[in-house]
Amino acid sequence: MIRNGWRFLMRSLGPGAVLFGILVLGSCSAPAHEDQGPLAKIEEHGKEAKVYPLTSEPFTFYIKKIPVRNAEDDTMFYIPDRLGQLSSFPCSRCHSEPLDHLKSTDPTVKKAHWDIALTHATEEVLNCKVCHSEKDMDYLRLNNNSTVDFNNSHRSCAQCHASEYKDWIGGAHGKQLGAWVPPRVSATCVDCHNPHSPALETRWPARLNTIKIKELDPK
Amino acid sequence: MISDGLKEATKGSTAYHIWMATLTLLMLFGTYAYYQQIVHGLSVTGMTDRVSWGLYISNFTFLVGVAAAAVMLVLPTYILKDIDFSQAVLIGEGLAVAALIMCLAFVTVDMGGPARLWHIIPGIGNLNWPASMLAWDVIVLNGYLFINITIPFYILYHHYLGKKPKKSVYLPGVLISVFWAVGIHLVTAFLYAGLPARPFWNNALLGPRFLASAFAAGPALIILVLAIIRKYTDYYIADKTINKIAMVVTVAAQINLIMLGSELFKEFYSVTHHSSSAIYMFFGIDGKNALVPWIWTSIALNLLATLALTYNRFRRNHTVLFISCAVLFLAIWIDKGMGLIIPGFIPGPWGEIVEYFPTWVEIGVTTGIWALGAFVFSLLVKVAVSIELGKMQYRNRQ
Amino acid sequence: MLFNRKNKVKKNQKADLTFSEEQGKMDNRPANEGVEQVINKPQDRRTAMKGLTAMLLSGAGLLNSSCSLTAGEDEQDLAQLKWEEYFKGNYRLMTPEEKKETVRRLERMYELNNGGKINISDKGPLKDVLYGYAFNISKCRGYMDCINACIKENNQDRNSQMQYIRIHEFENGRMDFAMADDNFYHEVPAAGHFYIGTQCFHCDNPPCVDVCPVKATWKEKDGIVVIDYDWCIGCRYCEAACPYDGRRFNWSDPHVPENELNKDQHYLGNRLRKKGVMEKCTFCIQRTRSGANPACVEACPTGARIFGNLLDPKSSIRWVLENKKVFRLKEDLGTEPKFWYFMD
Repeated sequence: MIRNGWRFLMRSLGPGAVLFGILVLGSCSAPAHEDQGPLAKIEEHGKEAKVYPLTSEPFTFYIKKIPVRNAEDDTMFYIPDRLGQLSSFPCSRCHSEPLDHLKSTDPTVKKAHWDIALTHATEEVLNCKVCHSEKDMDYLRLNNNSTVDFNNSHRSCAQCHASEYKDWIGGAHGKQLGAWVPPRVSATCVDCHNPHSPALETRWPARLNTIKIKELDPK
Repeated sequence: MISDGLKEATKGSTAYHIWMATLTLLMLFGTYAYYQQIVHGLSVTGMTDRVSWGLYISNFTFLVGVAAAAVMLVLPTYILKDIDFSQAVLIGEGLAVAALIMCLAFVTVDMGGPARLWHIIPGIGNLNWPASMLAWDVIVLNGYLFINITIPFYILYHHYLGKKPKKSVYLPGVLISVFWAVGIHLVTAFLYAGLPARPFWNNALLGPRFLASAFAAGPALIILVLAIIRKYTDYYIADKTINKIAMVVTVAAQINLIMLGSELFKEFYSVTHHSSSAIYMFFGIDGKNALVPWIWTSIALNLLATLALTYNRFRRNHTVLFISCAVLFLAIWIDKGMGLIIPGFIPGPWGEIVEYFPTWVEIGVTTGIWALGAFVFSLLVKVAVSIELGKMQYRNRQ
Repeated sequence: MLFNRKNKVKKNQKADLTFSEEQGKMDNRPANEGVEQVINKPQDRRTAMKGLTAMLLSGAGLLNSSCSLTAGEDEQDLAQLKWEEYFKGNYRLMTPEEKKETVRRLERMYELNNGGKINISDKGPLKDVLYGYAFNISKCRGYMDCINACIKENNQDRNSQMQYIRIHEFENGRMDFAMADDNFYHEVPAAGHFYIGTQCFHCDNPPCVDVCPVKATWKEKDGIVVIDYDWCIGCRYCEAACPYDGRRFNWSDPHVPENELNKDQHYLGNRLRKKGVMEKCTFCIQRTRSGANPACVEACPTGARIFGNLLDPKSSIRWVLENKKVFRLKEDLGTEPKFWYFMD
């Protein structure tokens, strides 16, 4: 009787195990064709240009925008207007005399813009005359002695900081304002970095979590 | 039969009444604790976002194993036709029912939104089968409960009427229940083993280890229950039955130890980040060592009990046997409960060590549910035993 | 058994027996034991009817006050809305009309409960959009402005200091999360340290979606992994399954101060949750489906966070993926997160 029982058990064990196996494997999440990850999806659907029913205008209407065009890859995005934000601009409205005449040799008189400390690179790399045009103080100077206005000051920074500039054009450096839908509005270099002292300072974090402290140290 | 059953269940000796009264008190306290949880949310428990499963799921995991272990008596009785087991089989299935009710209770109290549990009913709600192992668990646990209620009920009802139950009716159900029992515990193990986010659980040995520990702890409890039945009722249980079940417990406990050894080797031979959970459990990390005394106690008790059971002379001595079974049950309860669920969450996904300490609410509800299980089991056993002894028969009524 | 008793009483009443005489007849029966003391208690019809009527009345009184004559109209409305909300189905399976209805109900319930008005949107995904996110490790300076913005935008519980985002401070030399500190409080960035932020990565193969037993969480067509807060039963299986600590559970009733409430909400996003449900970062679905950046991207002053449409070849996120050396966390788990990290 026991032998029959064993035989019965063995016979029914086989198909039972197979059935169970099939049922369990059916629950497995083997990657289906669509689930091969975002990179595969980009391959399939990410080649054509996209047209959106929305723009970033509702989120950036308050910013006066200046276009920036990158010839290399035909990108275009906007940056905030700088000229409207500068106080005491244009310089030439008050200073009608050329720069040479403004210079004083009197050591007792304070130098102009004496409160601007220049902590940007070293003395042999930068001084005021490298970035500011001597010929016209309303403009910035580029290395080939041509000028550029304050709205496009990023072209001045790009001369030395070429990799940051490349990242910025692509959208990987610096803050983007408003929206992810085009057109893109990016902050420009001087929106974050003081050109005379560009390093960012330290500050305190925005929050402290007391519950986390309790979580990690209940005593 | 229901009225006779109720009559039978509500009369008994003073000891029985005190036992049931104590259980009722514990259940009431558990209800009060659960009420606190309903009103204030699960924040009254010790669970946090880091350790999001605790005492409730630990007990659930352990009890699914106990429920599955009833098959260890069903299998020899009906399939191997070993007559010695037949006395114990109804008790075993009653234990399965009680354990399953406890499992379902533990899952329900662990839910954040128990009022929305109807979402899990296929057809009315939206059951995520076959992808979610929890969906599988819902189906298999309720199915197993159904089988374990209907088949013994069928048999007992026929005995109650003085008739012989038909084999063609109950034998298919019994056969299904054998595979189903293995199924419920494998599915519960797969719940954990299928999560690559928790490397402590994500190994192939979890399922087999669950089965081994279940077949050690469940029959151990059955032996203790049979001993109590032998002492307090006239129901005859042969020594041979108890000895054979003890053999099952011994072999399962030994296999469990071998699997434990294998796990320890994997964790500690080449220590990687994935071993952090085991290091936390056995040695503590950064001064956080809440589980260390528990796991070492569990392993020591487990070793002691298994050794005692291995020696034939000790196993045949029923005092040693009963103590070893109780000790083994406790050891596996720790090992499979707190010793499996909690270390799975420590360290967290980003390596943070946040410990878990159950609150009085959790302990209260847990005690209440264990009392519920004991209550249900006592009721079932009392009725089943009196039917089997012929005391409760339809003809007596007339 | 109760009915047996009543029938017997009826028969005897026909014979005009009084109650006590009836009792006398029944004294020959064996004394009731156990449960029979309660169930088979001898009772006359009058007492039985009294008991039944009392039960019926108290049961009816327990029904929700929408049946009550004394509850105000607002309370009746609220009760009706709660009833309908309880029995609604899974949001993912709703028709657009049903979605509009549930959103309307939720807005009305807020109005009845609090007096103010909120907008809950049911906006669906934009076509041809798959959201991606990039995090610049060189730029993050540990300010945690993103965390504050996220909490305000998404109406997270203030009492438990719930936050979806974590900023981890690492010491130079190794990227070991176990040694990182995510609750630092000193001037940042600290010398010799770098910072990495984590949140839900909106995996393309999300393990949390597979394990939910009721399909309360799923991946939308635009790639955002969302939760239907009213369908979630609070089992926390998804929290166990997430390898990135992306999910948060409401262990108690979440509370947002009235003056800090963000009233522009989305059904799947920042609408008010209740206790016992899961929530997580939704890439600010209420903002991004209208074209705006998520709050964290908006708030970061250094521009360390970049967000956009992966399927748009001209987007910044695509430029980052194509031109920077990017990586993702725990790549070996096969979750395909849509959150990349890079350094300058």
